[in-house]
Amino acid sequence: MLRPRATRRRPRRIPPRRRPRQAGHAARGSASPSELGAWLRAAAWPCASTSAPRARSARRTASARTRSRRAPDLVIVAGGDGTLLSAARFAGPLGIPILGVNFGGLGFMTELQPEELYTALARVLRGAYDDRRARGAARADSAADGRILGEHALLNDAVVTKTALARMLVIELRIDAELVATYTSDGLIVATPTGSTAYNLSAGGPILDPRMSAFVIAPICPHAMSYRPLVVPGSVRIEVTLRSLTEEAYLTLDGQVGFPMRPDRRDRRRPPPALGAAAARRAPRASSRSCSASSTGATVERLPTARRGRQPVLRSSSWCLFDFANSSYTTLIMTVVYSVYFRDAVVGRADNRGDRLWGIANFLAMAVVAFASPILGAISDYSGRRKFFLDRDHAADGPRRRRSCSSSGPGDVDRTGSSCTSSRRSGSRAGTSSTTRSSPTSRPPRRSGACPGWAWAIGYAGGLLSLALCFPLIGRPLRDAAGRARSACDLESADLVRPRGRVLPRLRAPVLSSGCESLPQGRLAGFRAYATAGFRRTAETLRHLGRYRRDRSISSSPRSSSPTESPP
Amino acid sequence: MISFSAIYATTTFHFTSGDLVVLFLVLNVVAFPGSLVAGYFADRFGPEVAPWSAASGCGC
Repeated sequence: MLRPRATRRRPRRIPPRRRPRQAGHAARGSASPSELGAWLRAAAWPCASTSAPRARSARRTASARTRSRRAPDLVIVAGGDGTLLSAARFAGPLGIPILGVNFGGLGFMTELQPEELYTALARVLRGAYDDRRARGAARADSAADGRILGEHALLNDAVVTKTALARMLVIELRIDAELVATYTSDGLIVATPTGSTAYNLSAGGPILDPRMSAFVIAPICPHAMSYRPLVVPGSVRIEVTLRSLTEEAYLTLDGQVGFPMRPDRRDRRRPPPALGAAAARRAPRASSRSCSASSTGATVERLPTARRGRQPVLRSSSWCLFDFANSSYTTLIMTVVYSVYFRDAVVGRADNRGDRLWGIANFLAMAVVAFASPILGAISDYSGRRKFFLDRDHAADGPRRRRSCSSSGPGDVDRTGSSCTSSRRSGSRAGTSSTTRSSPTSRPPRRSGACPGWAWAIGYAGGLLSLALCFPLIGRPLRDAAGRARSACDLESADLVRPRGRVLPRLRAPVLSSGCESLPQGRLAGFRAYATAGFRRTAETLRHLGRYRRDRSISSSPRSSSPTESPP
Repeated sequence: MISFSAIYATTTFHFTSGDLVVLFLVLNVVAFPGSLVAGYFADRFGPEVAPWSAASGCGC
């Protein structure tokens, strides 16, 4: 494993490419761990090696290094596909790239031959290596009776197969909570594009390009000829439930770990458990197990940008720094200072006109954000430009506009109320929406969309800090209200925005979600596609919301005695 | 509601600017640990049961 060194800016000297001295086993011997370690140290890349039997300790080592913010930049796996799959179980969730060197029997995924190692490694260290073959990754949850039992990284496939007796299983397949089919077969394979050439291929499934964001679902020896392999988008949630009442089955993930399955006797009309609502506990004896796999998105970025190990906590905390700075504006300017100043000084009427104008300005700002967010969100998601949009939101809410707030005096109602306040409020809220949109990549999938509590706390800390800084200015008597507002705005613009301007360029853009390859290129075509995707996503969310409420009402009502659904 | 809170405080309760700052300082001081605790319960038990968990935890 490669670890980043503290000083990384000086150019590295890449050792000259070594020719394989001999072919065959002798060449394999040239890529021994000791020689590889010496080669990497000569290139100023410290490394650590571990053996396959100590994979458990390697996982602990990786976890410990993640906690200590020293995650490996690259994992080099010397072995076969099984060794790589084992390494992928702990390196995949951390976003650490894996370079496989084939020393084993099967080398579909360990693509490099030993004599190619140093050539490829030199390209990796130069940042010129781009492997598109093994990119599809997924997450599998084992669940029992609606409770999530565990989360597992998945690179190849999740397979449900029968155990001892050669009897068929009854397996129910749901995609995004919709019943798709009830298979009567020997089993079912849910494979990623990387795993489409494995068991799925032997079962008659298609081969998927690893750059695709998709799953292939292939039944194993189905009873009915109409059940053929199915390719679904990578953004869906697949739920596989064992419905056989007598047969026993096994759930195998990547051929590495397995769980016994028991039939699920729950009412079929009951909606599947919400991923965020169930606590992940280990049940001593589960009555049923199901596997739900959801894609974490195809990795589109190149290897050089993925050198640092992606650490969800760090990414999440980095993006929350925007809220830290943004809360100073929301708390100090919009809530405490400027609202009263706007009503009393800018409008300056004894009637309720100031309150009404203040409400209209805020309403316009929220309306703009509500209508523009789906499109802007789709553009930022599909084009991978979240960071750019966050920067633009910051510019729309920038220091000059804040200073214009303080420069507006009595009588500047139109300019201040209709344009300045609304645009600044829109920029602030759009920036908050941008940070929330980053949650699918900075939060675990089943927590996606939910801002963590400590992130809210960071925002409150920003507001608290700004209030404490402004207390001497606002609390002491100044000559007029405009003086107080100007002092607060200038202080907020000068002191608390600057750190955000410094932090933003250094943040890592989050990994993209799926679907960025499918949209057309070109400026106008891209905008139309993005707008269409944004509205389609909004409509889909509303449909899901309605279906969720309907399903909850069904589940809360007395259940019928017999299932009513049937496969289409 | 938050946007109108300062206007409401000055109109109804006749808060001065210094009083407003103190009010929101206290609110933020309370909100900081509150969001930490409620966020922990939300991550632990889910957002639907988190308010009840936080309430029962604070009650105990």
